[in-house]
Amino acid sequence: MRGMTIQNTLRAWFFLLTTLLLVVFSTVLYLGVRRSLFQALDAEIGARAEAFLSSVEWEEGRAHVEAGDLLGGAVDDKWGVELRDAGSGRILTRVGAALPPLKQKPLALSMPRFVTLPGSPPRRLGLFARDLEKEEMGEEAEERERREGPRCFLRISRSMASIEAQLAGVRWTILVLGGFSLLVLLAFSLFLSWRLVRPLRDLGETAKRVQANGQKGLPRSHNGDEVDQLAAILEDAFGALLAALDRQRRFTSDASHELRNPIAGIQNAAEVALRQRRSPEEYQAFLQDILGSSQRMGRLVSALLLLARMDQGMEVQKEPTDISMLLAQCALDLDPGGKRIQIQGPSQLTAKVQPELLRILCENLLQNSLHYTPKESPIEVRILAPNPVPVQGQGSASPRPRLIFRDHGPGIPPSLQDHIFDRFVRGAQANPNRDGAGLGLSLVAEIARVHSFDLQVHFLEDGVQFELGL
Amino acid sequence: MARLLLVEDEDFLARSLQVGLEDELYLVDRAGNGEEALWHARSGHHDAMILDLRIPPPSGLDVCRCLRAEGRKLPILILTACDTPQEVVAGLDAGADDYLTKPFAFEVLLARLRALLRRGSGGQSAELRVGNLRIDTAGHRVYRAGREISLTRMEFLLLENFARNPGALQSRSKLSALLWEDELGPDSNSLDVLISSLRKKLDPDHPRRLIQTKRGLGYILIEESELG
Repeated sequence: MRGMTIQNTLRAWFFLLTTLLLVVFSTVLYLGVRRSLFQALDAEIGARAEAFLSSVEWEEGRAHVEAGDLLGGAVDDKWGVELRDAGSGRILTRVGAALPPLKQKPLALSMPRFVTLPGSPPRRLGLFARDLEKEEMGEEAEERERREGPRCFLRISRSMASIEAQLAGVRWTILVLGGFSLLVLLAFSLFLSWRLVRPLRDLGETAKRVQANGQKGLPRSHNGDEVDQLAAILEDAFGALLAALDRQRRFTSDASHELRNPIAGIQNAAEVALRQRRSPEEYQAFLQDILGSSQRMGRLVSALLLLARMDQGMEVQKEPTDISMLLAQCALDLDPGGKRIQIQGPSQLTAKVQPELLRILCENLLQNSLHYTPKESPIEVRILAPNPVPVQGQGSASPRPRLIFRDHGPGIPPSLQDHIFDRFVRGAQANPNRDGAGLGLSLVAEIARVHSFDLQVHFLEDGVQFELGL
Repeated sequence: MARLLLVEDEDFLARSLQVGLEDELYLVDRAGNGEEALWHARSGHHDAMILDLRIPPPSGLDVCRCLRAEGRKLPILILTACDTPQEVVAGLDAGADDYLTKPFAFEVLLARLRALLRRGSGGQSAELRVGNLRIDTAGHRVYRAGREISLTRMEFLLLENFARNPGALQSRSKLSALLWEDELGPDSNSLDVLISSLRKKLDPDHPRRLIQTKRGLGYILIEESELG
């Protein structure tokens, strides 16, 4: 189930990424809200500080504060105000909730400073410094303040219970909305991954069917997307594969058919021979048939083995070989009287080939010609030495030695011309008792292929010409 | 006696098949390609045909279709190396009566041929009975009182001819013509020799001869009931 893994990976990544984004956004949102709430609180504290400071009345270094007036009549636990002398740190006056002791004497506080005090609920504390004798301040006073710092400072605190409550509300909202979004995202990721993987899965299903019953078409959207391209590629690959499979199947079936015939011959001859007592002459005839069938089978098996080995990519051991000598021997074996095969060319020509294979190639070509052309017609073999200089009219040089086989007969009918190198294709006039199984020219083509020989056929009106560039 | 047409292009196989079939007292004609097969089959002399599919053209299937298209009822047994289900179906659909794949057991081929010949006789029994003499004309077997008698081809041919016309007089010239396709035969003595060897095999311990001589006229097969 590989498709499922892709789908799961897709789901996991999508979900992970969206969750991460959601968390980041929520955090930023929460912090933003918190910050603005704090700013509003600080501004409120600042305003109260201004109001407080402007309402203080001074008398011999002591502040008189009317609590009721100072905080607009709303002096309760929410607020706590402390005015201290900057020099001694002594509390000049205090209103509202108690504040924790001063840990550090603030000096030169030109700007208000805000901190959050821990506790339940936490409190926001603002520190303000002010020269309270501003009105009377001349140059001397300013000089002193620069030297000694402000004369007094104000600590004003406000309970953060309301902010806490608001923030808690925001947190809950974010949690609920976030959870809901996560569920939606999860569902969406499931759908999206399913939707993305669906064409792939369809492709997989079809591929399975292709494997099972050789169906060829794949589901194609023809919209040029990646899946469609993949389908096109797969279709081509499947096509090639099925064609190869088909060829292989046909080859196997043909091979088994060709082998069954001689086997049937051997079996039947033996069976019939053993059915009753016979004369030695009769036994001899049966044995002759058995021998003939066995030889036929032997030839067939050798050819099939050779083809199979070459199909599997046999390594060709090339060695310098005298081509002229090899051809002369072939001709002598096939045409002992030397009446039909005529060889022209240098009496010695060496090339690097695999001699056994080249011999099989030449034998098959010559045998074909001998079988398919009239008894008296000549078969011409020309051996051409390599010619590095371009030949006039031929256009290109021929650096390889070449062999040309030319026969004079009925030629090859057009219907067979495209198939002469196919396996188990025989000429119409072939006699299965004398001729091969239609493997000769396939062997020739295969041997040429593994040697990288250049093999060409010319279909002529009065025969066939094979050209082999070694 | 059944006459067969053997269509097979592999000489090695065809030769032994022919000998085997002739041993079984069939008359065998051979054809090596489709054209010869059609020519022989159209003569109408044959009781069955053994047909290979991959033969020089026309192919076995075409031969089959052609004969059926001409309305010939000649029983056809396809004997081939093609053994895929599709090929068997194609063969039978082309009009063949039976299909046997190579390699095969000769016994099976003979049994199938016998079955084919029995069917080919159109429901007619392939058996001839004359008294306690029983002749299986498809299988070429002869039984007397349940005991099998082994005959040569000539003897069987002779006996089958008698059994088809029990009680009828058969002239010497007619018998010679049947056996040797020539009124005289190899020599005038051959028929006498054949008759006497047939008699020896048929009634070694029976009091009266089945085949009786009518001097100057010919021979006659007497039905068992007449023997008393």
